[in-house]
Order: sequence, then structure tokens, then C-alpha cells
Amino acid sequence: MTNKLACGKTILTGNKAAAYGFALAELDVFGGYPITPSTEITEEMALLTSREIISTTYRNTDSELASMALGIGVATAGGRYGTATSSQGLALMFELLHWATTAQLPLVIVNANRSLGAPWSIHPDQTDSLLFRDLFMPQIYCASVQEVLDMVLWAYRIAEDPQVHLPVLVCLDGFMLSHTAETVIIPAQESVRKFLPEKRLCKNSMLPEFDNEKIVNLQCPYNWKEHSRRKKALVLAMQSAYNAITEIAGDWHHIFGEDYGNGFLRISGDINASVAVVSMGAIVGTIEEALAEKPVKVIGLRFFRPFPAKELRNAIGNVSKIIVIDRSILPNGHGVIADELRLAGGACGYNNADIHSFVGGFGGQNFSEENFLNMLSAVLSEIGPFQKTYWIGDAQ
Amino acid sequence: MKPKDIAIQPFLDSRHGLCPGCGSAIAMTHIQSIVSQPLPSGKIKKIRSMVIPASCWSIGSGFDGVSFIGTNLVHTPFIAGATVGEGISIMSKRRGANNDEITIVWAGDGASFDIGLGLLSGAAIRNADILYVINDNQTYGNTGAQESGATPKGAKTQTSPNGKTIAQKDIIEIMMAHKVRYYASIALSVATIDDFYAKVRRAADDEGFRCLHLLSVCPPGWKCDAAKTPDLAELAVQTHAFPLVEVTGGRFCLTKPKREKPIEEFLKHQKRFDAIINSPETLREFQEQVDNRWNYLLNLTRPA
Repeated sequence: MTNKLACGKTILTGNKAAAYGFALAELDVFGGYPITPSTEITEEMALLTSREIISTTYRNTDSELASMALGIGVATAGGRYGTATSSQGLALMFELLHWATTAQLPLVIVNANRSLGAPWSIHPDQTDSLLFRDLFMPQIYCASVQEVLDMVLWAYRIAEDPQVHLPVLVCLDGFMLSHTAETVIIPAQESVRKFLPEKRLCKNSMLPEFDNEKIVNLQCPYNWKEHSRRKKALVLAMQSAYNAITEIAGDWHHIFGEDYGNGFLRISGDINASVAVVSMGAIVGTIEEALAEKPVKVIGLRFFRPFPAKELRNAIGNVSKIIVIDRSILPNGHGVIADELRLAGGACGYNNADIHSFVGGFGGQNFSEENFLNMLSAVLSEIGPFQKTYWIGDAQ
Repeated sequence: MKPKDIAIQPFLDSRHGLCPGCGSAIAMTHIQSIVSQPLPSGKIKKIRSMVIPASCWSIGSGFDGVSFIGTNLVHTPFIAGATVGEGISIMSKRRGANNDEITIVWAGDGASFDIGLGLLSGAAIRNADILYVINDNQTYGNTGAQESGATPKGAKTQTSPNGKTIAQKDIIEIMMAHKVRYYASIALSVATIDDFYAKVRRAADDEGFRCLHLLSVCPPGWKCDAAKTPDLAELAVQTHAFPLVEVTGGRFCLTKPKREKPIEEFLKHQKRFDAIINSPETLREFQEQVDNRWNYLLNLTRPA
């Protein structure tokens, strides 16, 4: 290699930070296919590989389906693979995403969140990645550009954990994070190697080494008992991913000094407050700023899958009201996070608190600090159980 | 090296689930045996993996993790074979083993002409280092013989009960348009065995994207006698229904069969062509279509 990857303090967009995460993960192969707003990740990977700054094999694929198919091939042969996409691209991958998860192939997909049509939109919401919440695939949501870089590396640690071996999805909100430049510290490659060791072969899903005479038949039909065993193994793999996260956060803290707490959540504000605000992604930072002077605690979900029910319960504590801000909507009229909280916490609300659910952020609707202040005063003045979903921006 | 010098090894074992008379099953054993022998350059290659997108081979080649074909198998969704194969071959190259490892993608005509055409196009134009075999039985065999892009016009299938009304896709020209490194059509029969062996050996020896278009006689799909498989492969070539071509580095070569026969000789053994055989007018049209195609290909062999 003639050139070296930059390291130290610099300014990067979320997309470039994702590319630096991939670069530091020393991938075998990156499959590129452009889609707004993740395109810049792909462009940066093409640049880093063509300038031989990194030794990854780069391929321009012919669709997101092809970039997932390439990943299945690379991971099956024991290689480390990454790709980036958004919205319609992620949806196009679906058949092969499901295949990669159930074949337990470790690889990482970065998704710059964008509305999934119709109607046509390039604006960010989280309906694209959250559509895949029923896959056996950990999902990470970033709240800052630094987190994007860091979480790509976490994603490989989780994906390649011998007890896990699953694809991992890293999400950053389109434009709000993908195209926003922030100060970032690019860690040194040597430190990253301490955190993310060289890839090990997974005996379940991968072709044996060439000199191994054992012949395998991967993903062939099985009898029902073995098929069931594999389904159960997927549940265990998700549980193992859950178990690994706090340890990974600890290792990260130890090696890089950055404290991500237990890894699952980003918590700030007044810990004794009687109101908790729960959200996910780039708007968490805006909520924190808007409500900094208010008696609330703000909880950002860094992991949506595996869902950190226990950590959330502890973080929420004994509040009387929970405000959930979703940028997704379900057929039952709930936002996805609110729905998940109700599911995890029982019909009467999480920890017996009332869940006040707000949804919005579609088609380019931006949230201002004023929006969050209005939500808070609406919720504080409301009396009694409150299971309705409010659309942000509707007359309240 | 002649066909008689290549020992057919017992790659395909008796537990396989292919139909009696399956042309693809016979060809699989031959192709694996040829690839595993010293190639024209003297190289000996190991089959890293046989990649199988959805097809009869998805259920016929093994069960419970056991391979019935003597090599590693990687099953993939219908659409994904070519690119999964490319991913595996990239890893062989990154590990410095690409000279002695070969990744074979064994895909049906549905997977190649239709659902997987986009991904096949990508792998072809990127010159992916794979040997891509189009196992062409001219129908969706695994689902019980429905119309595919490779079904000849006029042939009856389960989804074209009155005979296919649209043209057969021209895979030769699709592949040529991609400037592929190597493309050849092959049929396994007594009359064509030398051609078959020579092409498989050349394809296996080379590197980059190589495509073998294999005509696989399919008794249930073609509604023909299972004992007629080698005869029908031979007749397909002799009647120009399946022209044997070879494209290397853009050079087009068409092999004229030693004995040539009217198309009726190929069609009359298959019930899927009943309506054509029973109508002199339709038969004449079919013959014309075959002749036009042959003349068109013949023209490609002449310098411009």
C-alpha cells in the first residue's frame, strides 16, 4: 500500500465516517451500488480502494440484490464484507437479507435511512430499516457522526462473534446524519485491530478451507428437526448478540476511552425526572438540546435489535409519563418504538407509566426545538391514561 | 486428450433425486470428471464449490448437509447464483488460490434467461472468475415444466397449454453482447461427445467469466421417453434446433453437424411439440424459423 488511511481528529460527514469505519474494518470485499442518501459511502470506498489506501476488493454491482448476493458469496467463503444502501435498496435486498440472516453469514450493511415509497421521497424517516425488525439481524441507530464510524466497527464485532454470526445493520438518518459534517476522531488502525481481531471461520455456514477434504452441502434442505434446530439457533444468536453488547462497549471504552455506557442506550437529562422521552437516531441530539432545561430524561435507543427491554426499564425507572417520538408508522396507528414499548411493557404502559406517542418526520418534515417543547407541555397538561398517537404538526 | 482417456468418476452418487433420463444429471458427472483431470495447460483444478440457485438440483443434490455430488455445494436463492459464485471466487483470488480453484455455478435456464438475468449480466460484464453452466432444459423443471425464456416458440408447457406464443430468448447474443471471455453451447451425445469434452476442458482451463450453455434433455418436461435422452441431445444438434457454437475473445464459431436432419426428427419424439407435428403448416413455419436462425448464426462466422 502506497498511501495511509488518515487518522486523528478531523471533520467528516456521516457517510464518510461510515466509509472510514469500513476502511478500518479491513474488509475483504465491498460491494457498491449508488442510492441517495448513502451514495457517498460507496463513492468514498471506490476512492479509498482505487488509490490503494486500503486493500479491499471493490466491485460496482448491478443492483442492491447483487451487492447482497456478492456478500453472501464472500461471507460463505470466509471473507469480511460490507455494503451500503438506503430505503428502496434495502427493500430490494430483502430476499437475500433474509437468506443471509438465516444462513448466519456475518456481514455489515450500512443503511442511510430514507423513506420507503410510495410516494416518492428521498427524505429521512425510519420506515425502511424498521420494516426489517423481524429479521434475525441486530440493528444499530446512530445519533452522531462519531457514532457512525464507531458503530460500523461494533457491527463487525457483533456479526463475527462466534456465538452470533449474523448480518448487522447500522443505520444513520439520511441527510440529518449522512450529509452533516461533525468533528470526528478516526482511531488508529493498530487500536482497531485490538478491538476487532482478524476474521475467524464459522463452521456452520462457511466453505471449509481449500485443503480440508470434508465436503459440505450448505443451505440444502434438512429434516424438520434440524430445520427447527436452526431456527432455535437464530434465537440464541440474537440472545448472544444481546449478551455481547455491554462487553463490546466495555472493550471500546478500555481501548479508545469513549464511554458508551452499557452500549444499548444514550441517556441524558434529569435522572430523577418524572417524564422520560424515548427516541432513536439523529433527532435524539436535538431533543436533548431542546429539553436540556426541562425536568425530563432523554433516552436514545442505540440498539433496536436486539431490543434492550431490560436496559430501557432500568433507564426509564419510575416515571409517570413516557413520551415516544417515532419516525415510522404501523398499520395499527402506532409508531414502531411506541408499539415495541407497549409490547415489552404490557397493555397499561411501560413500568405502568402512560405512553404518549408522537409520530412524524415524513416527506421532509423537520422537527424544531419548539416542536419538542410543545410536545412536552401538551403531555404535562394531559390528565389520565393516554394511548392515542399524535401526529407532530397537526393542530394540538 | 480424448473422451476415452477421461475416467468418469462417481461424483454423482445413487442417492441423488434427479429424474430417470435426466440429461443434466449425466452432464454433471461428465463435467465434474473433466474439470478434475489435468486440463490442456497441464493445470489441475479443484472444484471449490458448486453453486446452485433454485432448481431441480436444490433438492436433488443432497440432504441434511450431505452432498450427493462429491463436491462442496452452496445453495442460493433463485436470483443470486452468478453473484454468489463471484463472491466465492474473489475470496479464492484474495487467498492466492485462484489458479487451482474453480467455482462452478450450475443454474437452470429460468435462473439464467429470466429471474437471474440481471445478476448474470453483472457477473459476465465484470468478468467474474466463474464457470457458469446454464443447465437448459427449456422449462421451469423443478416446478413441473412451466414456460421460461428458453422455451422454444410453439412448445407446450403447463403455463402455455396452447404452445408458447412468444420467441425464445437469444442467450448466445446476450452473452456475446457482454464480450464474455468464453461462451460455448454443448450437448452430451455420442455424436457430440468430442465437442463437449473439448469445450468443457477449454472453459475449465481458462480464467474469468466462462459460460457453458448445456442442453439438458428433460423427459418429464419434454414429454419424451427417458431412454431417449442421448438420442434427443444428438437430434437437437443435427436438426439445428440447438446449434453448437463457441465464442472465444469475440471470435464466433459454429459447428456444422456431420449429419443434418429436418426439424421433425427432433420434434416428433416429444409430446410438447404435438401441435406442431400435427400441422404441416406450423411444422413448415417452425422449420423456417430454425433455418433462419441457423443462417443468421452462419453469417456471424463470416468476416464482415
